[in-house]
Amino acid sequence: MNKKQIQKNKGISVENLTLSYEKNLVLNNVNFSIKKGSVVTLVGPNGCGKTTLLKIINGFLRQNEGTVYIDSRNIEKIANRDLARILGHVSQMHKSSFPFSVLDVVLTGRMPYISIFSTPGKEDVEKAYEVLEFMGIAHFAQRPYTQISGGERQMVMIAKALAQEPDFLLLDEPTSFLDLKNQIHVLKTIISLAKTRNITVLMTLHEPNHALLFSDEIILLRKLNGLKNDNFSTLYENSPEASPEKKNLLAFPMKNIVSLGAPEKVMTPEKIKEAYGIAVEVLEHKGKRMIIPEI
Amino acid sequence: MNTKTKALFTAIILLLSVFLSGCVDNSAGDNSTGDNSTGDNSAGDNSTGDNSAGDNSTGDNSAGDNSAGDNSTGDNSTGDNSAGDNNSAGDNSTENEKTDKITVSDDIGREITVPYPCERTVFLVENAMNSMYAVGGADEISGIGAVWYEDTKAPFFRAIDPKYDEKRLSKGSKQPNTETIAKADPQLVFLWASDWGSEDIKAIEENLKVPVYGVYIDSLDDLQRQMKTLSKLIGKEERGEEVIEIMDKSMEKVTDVTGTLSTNEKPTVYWMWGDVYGTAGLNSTASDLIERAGGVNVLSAWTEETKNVEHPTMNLEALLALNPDVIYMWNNENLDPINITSGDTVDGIDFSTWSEISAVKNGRVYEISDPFVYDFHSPRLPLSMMHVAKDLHPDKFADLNLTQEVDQYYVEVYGVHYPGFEPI
Amino acid sequence: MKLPEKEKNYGYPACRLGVSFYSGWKNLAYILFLFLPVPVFLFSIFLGTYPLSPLELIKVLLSHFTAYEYSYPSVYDTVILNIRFPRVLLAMMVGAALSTSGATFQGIFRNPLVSPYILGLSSGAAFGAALSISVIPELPVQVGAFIFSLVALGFSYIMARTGGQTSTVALVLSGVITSAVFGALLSIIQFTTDEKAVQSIVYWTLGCLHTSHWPKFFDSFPLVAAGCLVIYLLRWKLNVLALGEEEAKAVGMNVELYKAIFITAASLAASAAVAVAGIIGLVGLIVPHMLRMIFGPDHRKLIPLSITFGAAFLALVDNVARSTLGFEIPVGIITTLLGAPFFLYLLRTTKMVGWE
Repeated sequence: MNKKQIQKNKGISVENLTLSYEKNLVLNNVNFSIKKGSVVTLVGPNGCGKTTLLKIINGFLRQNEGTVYIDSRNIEKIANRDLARILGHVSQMHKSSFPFSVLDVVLTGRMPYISIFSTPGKEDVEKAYEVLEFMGIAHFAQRPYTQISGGERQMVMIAKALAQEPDFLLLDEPTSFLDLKNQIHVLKTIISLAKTRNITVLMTLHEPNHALLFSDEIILLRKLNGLKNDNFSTLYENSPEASPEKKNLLAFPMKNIVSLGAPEKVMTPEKIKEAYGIAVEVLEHKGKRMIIPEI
Repeated sequence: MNTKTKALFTAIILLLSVFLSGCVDNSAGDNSTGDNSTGDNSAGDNSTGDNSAGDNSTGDNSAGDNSAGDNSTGDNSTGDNSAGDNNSAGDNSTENEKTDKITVSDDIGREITVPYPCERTVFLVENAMNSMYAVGGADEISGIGAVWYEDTKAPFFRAIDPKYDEKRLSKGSKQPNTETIAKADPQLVFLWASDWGSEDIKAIEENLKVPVYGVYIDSLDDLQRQMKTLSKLIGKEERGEEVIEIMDKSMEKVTDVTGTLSTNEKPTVYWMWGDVYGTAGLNSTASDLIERAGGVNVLSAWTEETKNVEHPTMNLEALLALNPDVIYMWNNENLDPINITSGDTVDGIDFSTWSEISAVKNGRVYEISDPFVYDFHSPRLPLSMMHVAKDLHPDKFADLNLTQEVDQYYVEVYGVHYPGFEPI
Repeated sequence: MKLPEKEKNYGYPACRLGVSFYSGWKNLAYILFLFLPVPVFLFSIFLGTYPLSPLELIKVLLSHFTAYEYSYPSVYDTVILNIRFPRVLLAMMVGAALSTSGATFQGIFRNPLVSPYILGLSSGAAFGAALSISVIPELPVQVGAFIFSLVALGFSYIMARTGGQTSTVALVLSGVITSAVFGALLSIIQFTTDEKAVQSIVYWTLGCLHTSHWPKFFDSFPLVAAGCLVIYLLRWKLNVLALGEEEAKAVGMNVELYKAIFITAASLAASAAVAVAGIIGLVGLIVPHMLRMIFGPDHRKLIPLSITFGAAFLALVDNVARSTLGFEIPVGIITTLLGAPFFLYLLRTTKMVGWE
């Protein structure tokens, strides 16, 4: 590992990330890095750790081992508030009990810029409107958030994240629960974010075809199926100083990442079979690739 | 979900409790309306000449005790009332004497049939046990349940009943469980009960197959009726009559004087229970006591229907509007009359705001000095009446030496001296 | 995505400037509600069981606060200044505290059906009160209630906290457990105590303001004011929290810290209120809800409105309790009777979302 080299990089670097949850190894020694301004998609079967990975990068979860760097800074050393100014997160499906207006929801994105005893000022409201306009949803700024459609809600949540004025945006399944039109609309909006605002996007997607269409790079993950190792976790937890040598002995040959890089290189039938365990064909149409499962 | 259901339940329970408390109050009111009219027995005998005025109730008077020889038979109200109540019971008892059974009705009007004479009784309610001891039923008590503040009462009970400690089925204020009660092998169990459907009564009657006497008192006459019934149960009617006569005579010492008072001689009295703003409604034992001791329950001047509730709760504003001449406190551990008259703050109540009440202005705040000796739910009721009367009319009762009266009463009723409980 | 220019202009500039008819009406109502306690206070001091005509009352007040001279019996002063003033103000303070803490708890738990008593505050307070009424008479009732309400809250909070996290579901469940435990302890006391004490305990648990006086007001005011002030200052943060903990974390909020601050502030205010007034039910649930129906869920408005409207609401309800029947009806009974149907209505119409 050449730490110095990684640290100099702008963007997100994930190094030796390991996480086990209730003695189930979810992530095992994951390494990758994302260039600034690119749109990267995490693809893989259910339970492969896509969402977990996003949550670690966002600071929601703490890894057992490894480090995440954002613009060469270890995220564990960045205060929540500062992290929120550079990193936005849109979770999978958000519900609200209270009929907050769309504007109020978006305004919460200004949180990292508002000091403890104050409320959003004029500037914050203007920032929120600006973002709403950019997303094309300013016309329902006063509508209750609970009464808009799922697609609109997703746009609002993205707008909320944008109100944080982040350099990085993490999106967890931004298209789930949406119809086709809204899926494409949301994905197009995300792409345009990266292009016009130079925001680095890391998202997870269920639909590999969408990943192919909208990503600069794809990270294909597999599930570490049934890999339990009590020794590993006890060794890790009880004697951390002993881990560097012994860890390698105990480390699993299997890793989460099947492949990563340009979409056409990653999404090949062999690698998809490795990740999902099903046979697919990859077709090309007007320069775009498409995955069709064998039935 | 949990909170939702929980909150719903809480709401339902609260609603129910509101309705239930309403029902209880109503029934209490209904029970007592009949008795209320008898509250005023004008005996018309102005025996005690009023002597030196201006002596406080502390009782260092000269011995003016002319107690025993006072046999005016004009106590018709109480006598009639109880006799009438007991007619049916009396008839039944004569019928059943051959089969050694007796049927009486208890305080809440349930008919109960027990072996005659009843030899083993268990008391889960202390004030009725006092009645039993008073009518000479010490040997017929075979088990004793909860006794509040037992430390202060036990010496007395031990003095009048050497087997008191053996008979205790529980400690202090705890009630024994059904099995412990069964060990005392009772023929009859006494229980506080304000209504027929009481679960406690059912539990004992159905599990032990022992009849239950429901104890309930909400007027002074109730007490003597209860004592008569108890003496009948154990076949000691004579002693019962004797004790009732002693009580009546003692009470006459008060009522003979107070009966002659004109309305404007009677001070208005605010009765203060332990909860300070809780008072005695017009249909309550304490209210009877005030009236007979020569006072007027200040609530009688009130226009609201709630004044008939047994234990209504007032606020200071209403109290100021009623402006009682006297405040009479039930014994209160935290609060003394001096706290009220000097405007202290006790238990979160700032008594300086009471200074406009004429009772406070004139320093006429009194307290029942001993909640056991002057327990007016017990046969010691006449003592309690003297205590109150002496405070309400210090000049009229200057001759009444409370210390002597208590001693004499204890001797006559229980056969021990007070204080000290020396046998005679 | 391009929208027609007309549609785009519809909501946004108008709302931003606050000139649309609807928002104009709302702003007016907002101002009215904020000042509601003033007329309610003036109205309330005219009510009471002591016979005192409005004209006399005005004269007495004028003679106090202006050069106007008027001679009257000194008992009037007691009635007006020492009975009605502290009583109405205490009712207002308690109403404000319960409503504000209710709104806060609802925000934290993201559930509109939550009350300030969700974490066992009320059962703790009832136990503390019962303890001082019948077991430790040396302990003032208010102090006992206050201490044990906080003990109950702390107990719930600590039980729910695992690994530095306190999930709302765990909090709700531990609140239920705490309530049950203190309820059982209360039953033990009630079971082993005498009738009169039980009556006092029951009366206390129903919530009553009839022993109001200035010292009570002054004792509890600092705590209530401090709690409400903290919540007021942080009110916008409740919007962030109310969207969900993950959302709040995503925008950089220290969720655990804010949750602890809000729970502490809301608990302090509510405990101080409960300590002096007993358990007044459903105010903390109804008032924020009514306000949310009219003004929407934005806590920037909801919190100040809860303070003022909660104050006005309880003062009005207490007017019924203290002056309609001549005797004291525990105000908690009235709020519960008013609140229960409302609560059932909410239960049937509100969609339960946000329970993770």
